[in-house]
Amino acid sequence: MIYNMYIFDRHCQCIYYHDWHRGHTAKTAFDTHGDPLASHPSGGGGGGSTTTTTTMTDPRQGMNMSLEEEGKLVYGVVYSLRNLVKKLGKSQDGFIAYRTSHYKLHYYETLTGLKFVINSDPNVESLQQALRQIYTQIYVELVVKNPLACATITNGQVNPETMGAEGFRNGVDRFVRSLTMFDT
Amino acid sequence: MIFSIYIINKAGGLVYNKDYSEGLSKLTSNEYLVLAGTFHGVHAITSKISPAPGSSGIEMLETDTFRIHCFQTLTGTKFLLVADPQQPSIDMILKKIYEIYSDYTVKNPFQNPEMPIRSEQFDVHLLKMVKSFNGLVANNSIPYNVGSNAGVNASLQSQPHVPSLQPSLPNIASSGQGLGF
Repeated sequence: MIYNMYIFDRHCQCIYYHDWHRGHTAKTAFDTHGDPLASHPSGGGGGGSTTTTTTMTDPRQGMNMSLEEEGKLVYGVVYSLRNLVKKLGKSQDGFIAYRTSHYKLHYYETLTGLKFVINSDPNVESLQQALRQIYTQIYVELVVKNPLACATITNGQVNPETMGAEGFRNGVDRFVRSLTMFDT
Repeated sequence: MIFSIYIINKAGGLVYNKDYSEGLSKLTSNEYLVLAGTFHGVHAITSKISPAPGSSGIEMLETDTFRIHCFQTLTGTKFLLVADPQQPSIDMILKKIYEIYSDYTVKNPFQNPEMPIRSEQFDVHLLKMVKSFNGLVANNSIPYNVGSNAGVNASLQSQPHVPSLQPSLPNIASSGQGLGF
């Protein structure tokens, strides 16, 4: 089961977000558009009105975390863990994944400092290769080689919506749905 | 191969750390404290950013050269075990560490649970256990439990509230032996 995916640039900016099997409570809270394909970070603000179905165990209840805040926390976690691993281990960028009781976070960082993060259920084997493929086959092809998408990143002012050019979003969606562990 | 064991108290302070082999780079004691604090914070955040509700904190961190396994007790103390990615029977090792911790630290009336652990008995038994799993059978080291089975059994009988540990004992002894040689 694959839950969601983030891409961060070097400046701690979440430039892409996509969810597939997010817990239903979180989905209603975050995705006001309903359709996962159309979901984008700007929908995060509308969480307030639909949180009535959340249970006591929902970690977001009471915090009312927006997607933007959540992105920052995710970035903070992977950044800290990456530094911790770098300090403890002898190799560079050795951080692959971490697992909790309910999910597993997979991490891939490119040489340019782009960070790919994907959450799956805890039993999935490493998805780092899949993230690498998303980078080399989809990101490079559809974003790096797309002058319009590039302009929005290098400008300093990153716009997540324009960056997630429809082609890229569809490509990622198709790729992730084709993974064997997508629905199991 | 077990690389290190860290124990973090419920406030995020490092109360015990020990390296058992050369797999990791050496850090200063200050850096270990920072590391423990970082892990403590990250552990708290990872349960908040879960895509599925009700998640625990980080349980296993995977890197290309080692894995960090975390076991948190109900009282908030965290045991971190840094081991080889191929290390088997992690759960058993963590349980064993907790057992040794309970026996030689919690039961020590002079030990404050929030303070650094300075107990020779604890050191010795932990080292013995780690050696039995690491298979470092030098001429003088014996696998854990093989020589001290009688003593452990006796101590277990005096604590009838932990019956689950008793059936696992022969198991530990045999796996220790298997790995040891």
